[in-house]
Amino acid sequence: MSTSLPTAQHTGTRPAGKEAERGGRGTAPKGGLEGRRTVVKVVLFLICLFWIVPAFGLLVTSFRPPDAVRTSGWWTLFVRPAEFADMTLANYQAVLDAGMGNSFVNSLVVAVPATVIPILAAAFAAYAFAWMRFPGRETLFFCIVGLIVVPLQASLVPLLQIYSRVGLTGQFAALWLAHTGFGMPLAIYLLRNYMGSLPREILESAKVDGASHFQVFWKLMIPLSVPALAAFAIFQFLWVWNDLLVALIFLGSGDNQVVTIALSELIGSRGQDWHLLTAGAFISMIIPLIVFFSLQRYFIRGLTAGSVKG
Amino acid sequence: MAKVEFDHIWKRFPDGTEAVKDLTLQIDDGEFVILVGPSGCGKSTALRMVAGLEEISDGKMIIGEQVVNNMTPKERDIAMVFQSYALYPHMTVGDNMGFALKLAKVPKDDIAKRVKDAADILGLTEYLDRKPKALSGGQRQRVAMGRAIVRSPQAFLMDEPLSNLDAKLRVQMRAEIAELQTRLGVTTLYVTHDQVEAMTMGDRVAVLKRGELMQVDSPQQLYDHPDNLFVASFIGSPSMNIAEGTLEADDGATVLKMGTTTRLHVPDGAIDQYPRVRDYHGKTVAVGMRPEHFFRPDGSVPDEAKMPARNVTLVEALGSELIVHFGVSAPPVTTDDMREAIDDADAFAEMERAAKEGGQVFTARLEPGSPPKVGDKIDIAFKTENLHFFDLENGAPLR
Repeated sequence: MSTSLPTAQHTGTRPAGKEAERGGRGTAPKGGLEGRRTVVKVVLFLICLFWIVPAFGLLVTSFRPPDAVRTSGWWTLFVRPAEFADMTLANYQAVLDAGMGNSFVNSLVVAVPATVIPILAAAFAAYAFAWMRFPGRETLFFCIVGLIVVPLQASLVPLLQIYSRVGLTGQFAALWLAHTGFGMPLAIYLLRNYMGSLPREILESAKVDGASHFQVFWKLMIPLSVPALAAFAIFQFLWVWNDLLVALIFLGSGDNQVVTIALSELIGSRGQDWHLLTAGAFISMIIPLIVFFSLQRYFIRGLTAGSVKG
Repeated sequence: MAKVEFDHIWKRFPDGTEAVKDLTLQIDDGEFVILVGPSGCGKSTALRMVAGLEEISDGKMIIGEQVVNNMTPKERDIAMVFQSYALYPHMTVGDNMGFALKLAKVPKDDIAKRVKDAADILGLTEYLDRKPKALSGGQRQRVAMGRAIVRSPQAFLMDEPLSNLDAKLRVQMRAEIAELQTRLGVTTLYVTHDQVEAMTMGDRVAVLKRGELMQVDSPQQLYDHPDNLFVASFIGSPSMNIAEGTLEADDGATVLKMGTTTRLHVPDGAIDQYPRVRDYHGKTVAVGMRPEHFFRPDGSVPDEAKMPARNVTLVEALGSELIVHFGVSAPPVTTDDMREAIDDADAFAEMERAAKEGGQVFTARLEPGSPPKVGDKIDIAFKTENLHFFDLENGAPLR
């Protein structure tokens, strides 16, 4: 979801540019601009369609009885409207009975701290990197940026060993720590750049007004960095919510299993139980959708971070 | 309120540049002192050292009776107004103004009262609940002032606070700030590169050149009795005309020869101001002539105050006065002092080019009425008792 937006704009503008060139000198600049906009809109529409059709199919399937799901595609519902009568909530009932509700709560318990902790820690670090002078600042920052390229898979085995030694495996804290570690480098990088772009005079003014670093951080930096914080919060939350690998390794299945694991088990343990999978998938999508829509205005502002000053 | 004292202050940056060199300056309790100089002269650095935003490399900074070198900005109890105002964009005007008090844990009622009082003084009362975004430039500037006022600090520091305003508003705010400073009687150090602000606002003006204090005096003293060629050339708008001239003794009197044709008699009045002129007979000196001391001669003006007819190169009729630019054959002075005072590499290069061709353009401020046209030849004379003389080598006045 998050990557489709820039890609769409990218592919959208390129053919439009060519068209404008082909338009020659005769076309007024306004006409060229409108033509370009139309192309962008068409491309965006197509991309939305590609994303929405399968999701819609999933939604329809989740309401169909198991037999129908096994014998025909979701679109038959629209070919044979008589099937509307067979629509049922039984799939959802079955999924929830199978413990999906519990997994859902677990996912929240994992995702909220695994989002808040790295953001908070990264904001502190970003402030220090952007506005405090200390020896080794550049080198440290360079190391942290370097960590962005380390694949998290490389750290899974050593982490698991450490966790089992201290008895953290299967605990939520294991996931909080792991996701904090994996999320921090990018968070520090993004937030430092954002905070660094805030006008220096505002900070100096606060210092003259008598603010300590801590007060500058809480009273100025955090409120002024909300767009960047929110943008990263969305990234991190969606990443943690949708993560299967890390959760599977450190949490596994059982009472503490999260939604993604529950979903994978729905396929694994039931083989052909498609109808349950579709209902489960829909339940798991609710929270990401809520998060995205409630924070999306910050999200879009956050992507243009630094271009408009406070 | 307190005095602020620079005691042999130095600022050296890690790359070796010396932004402020051995600055000694005392701003008395309640005094309004302007720091002025061309860009890069260290005036802002000096101000930031008072605020504690810049470390002091050497010397003592004293506020009140305390050496503050190692104090944080907070401990120094000063207020600063920044060029960009540096308002906190997410806070209302009232919160902006009360921020420092809140940090100082002043009781809420007290904060509200002091903010309201300051807002009344500045005419901001109805804007207290707005965000800075919703204010005009002048209002933002006032909020920045208000933020300083509510604290009743030891001193106000202002770093080019008016340079973001348009010309008309600047005139108004200039007067308001000067009036406010008088009313509150707070020691104020004000940095600007604007001639008019420097001349009109402060009790005293300190002129800096490349980190060195060149002269500190009342505006009129600076203007009338510059201590060196740099101050002479820098202070004043339009600036003083400066050219090379040769002093000669002629039958007991002193005569100034400039260029190929001009011979001016140096009257006793001028020699009283610059007695060392007598020691410079036969030598080339830097001669300073203020634009307003030129006039168009009538029949009664003796020849020794007149310059031969001049070619007009530019006429600026401003209504109340007439600025006339005219060519002279006297070569310009192209020493380091002049380079710094002109503060514009292109303008200086142009002057050097003119010097090679053996001439330059002078500016005269004349009475309005019957303006000449470009290309006309006009007669022009000078009130010779107002001549200024400086040593060509070191820029020292021939006093």
